[in-house]
Amino acid sequence: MRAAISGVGMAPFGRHTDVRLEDLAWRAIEPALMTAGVEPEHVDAVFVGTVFGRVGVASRVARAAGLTGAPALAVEAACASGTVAVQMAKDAVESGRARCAVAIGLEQMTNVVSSAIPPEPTDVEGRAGLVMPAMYALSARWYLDHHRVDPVDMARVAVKNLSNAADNPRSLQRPARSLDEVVQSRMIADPLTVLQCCPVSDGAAAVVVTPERGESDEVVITAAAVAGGRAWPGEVAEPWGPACVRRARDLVEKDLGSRLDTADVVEVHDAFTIGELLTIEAMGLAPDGIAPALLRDGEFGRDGRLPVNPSGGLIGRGHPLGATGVAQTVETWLQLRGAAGDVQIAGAQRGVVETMGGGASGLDGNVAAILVLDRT
Amino acid sequence: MNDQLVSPYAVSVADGRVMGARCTLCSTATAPATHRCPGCGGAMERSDFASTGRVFSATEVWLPVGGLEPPSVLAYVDLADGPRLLARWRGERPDRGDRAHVDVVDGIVHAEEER
Repeated sequence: MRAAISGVGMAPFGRHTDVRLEDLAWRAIEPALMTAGVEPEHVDAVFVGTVFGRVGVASRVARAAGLTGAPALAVEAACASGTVAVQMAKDAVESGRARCAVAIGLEQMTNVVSSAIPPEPTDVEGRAGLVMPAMYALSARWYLDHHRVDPVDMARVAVKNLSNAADNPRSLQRPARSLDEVVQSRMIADPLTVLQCCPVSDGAAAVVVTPERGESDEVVITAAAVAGGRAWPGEVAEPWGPACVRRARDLVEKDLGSRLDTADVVEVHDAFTIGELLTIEAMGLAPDGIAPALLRDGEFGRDGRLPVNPSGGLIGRGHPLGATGVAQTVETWLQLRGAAGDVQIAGAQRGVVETMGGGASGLDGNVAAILVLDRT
Repeated sequence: MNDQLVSPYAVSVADGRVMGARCTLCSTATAPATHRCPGCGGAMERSDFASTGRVFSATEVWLPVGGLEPPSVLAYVDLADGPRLLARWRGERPDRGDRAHVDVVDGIVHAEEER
């Protein structure tokens, strides 16, 4: 039996500093239950992906939404927290432990973070001050140097994703930007300018997972995998990240029985422009070092061979950490149902979601998570 | 591995050597030491490493790093036959492959061009 996503919901991403977390979550949970035609009493498993959530956050959110009695568990896997929550909902349904599971991605961070997230002092690299933009900048400097790529070609990721987001009312409301504007914007960590970094925001997204009913127009989770981090540096000389994504890809392609390039639409982890390039290559969607050239040729645009982040991605949508993976899933569900509005990819039948959680030093990632969704 | 061999969160240097551990099976190096190998799970033995190596990557950061006025330079340094360390770099941003020397000040790894 396969698990299907029978309902989705999303609160608009943005600044919700003074809103109770329970209320922000409900703005996503309510439409998810409604589209699924499910009452709270039918839900028997709740997974809440969140990074900054306080002790008991999952239970408080569940109480306010009437999702009581079922275990409500917080899931932390850095930026991939929401994606892992969706996978746990899938596993709960497929194993028969739950007839109806809800995965919620939730983050309120504008009240704790003003620019980069403060590095973690119990982490050896965090102690030295390694903020996330610098961590990705170190990857970018290596990649551009190793593959002899012009930084301008990396910046095109932001041009594409901000342009997509400008057409997507579910994303942060920011204008599309020219390549010059992206390249000339304020330097954050060389070579990443501010418009190549995901903006801090608050947000919530939710999906209802139930057994496939065998009807047409359902969205099923055909395959899913989470790979944990391993030692970095590893056997290959490369930045942190790709090896972890490749392991998740190997697992999910085995589960799927075909390659990820069979997707019609892909939502990947573009917390910073370099992240999208590294991920596209690690997922086998472009040869190593070639993603920037394919991007320049328009292959990853909405009318290209394989649209990547038509929603606007994290750079365009905003990146409330725990909410991101569920929002990526919601956007992909909308694509497969033909309900993505102005960013719709015509006839999309298969969508892939990828999210990378990182930040623990000496590992090639905290986790990499991949979901494959198919329309029946 | 014995708990005594595991340092607190900071990297430590003694007599010009970086203190850490090395895997008895696959030779993966860690600093601070880990209980088991993050590469293969194998047993670790106490080891120390040269404080010199080469730059893997470096970036100039225009955010306050550790409360310091920007810009700061951060670099990954691959110690010769040792672990990769993230260091605050003294001076202009180095290039990949440049030679580096590391030291620890107030529990934080610093590095500069090896002279």
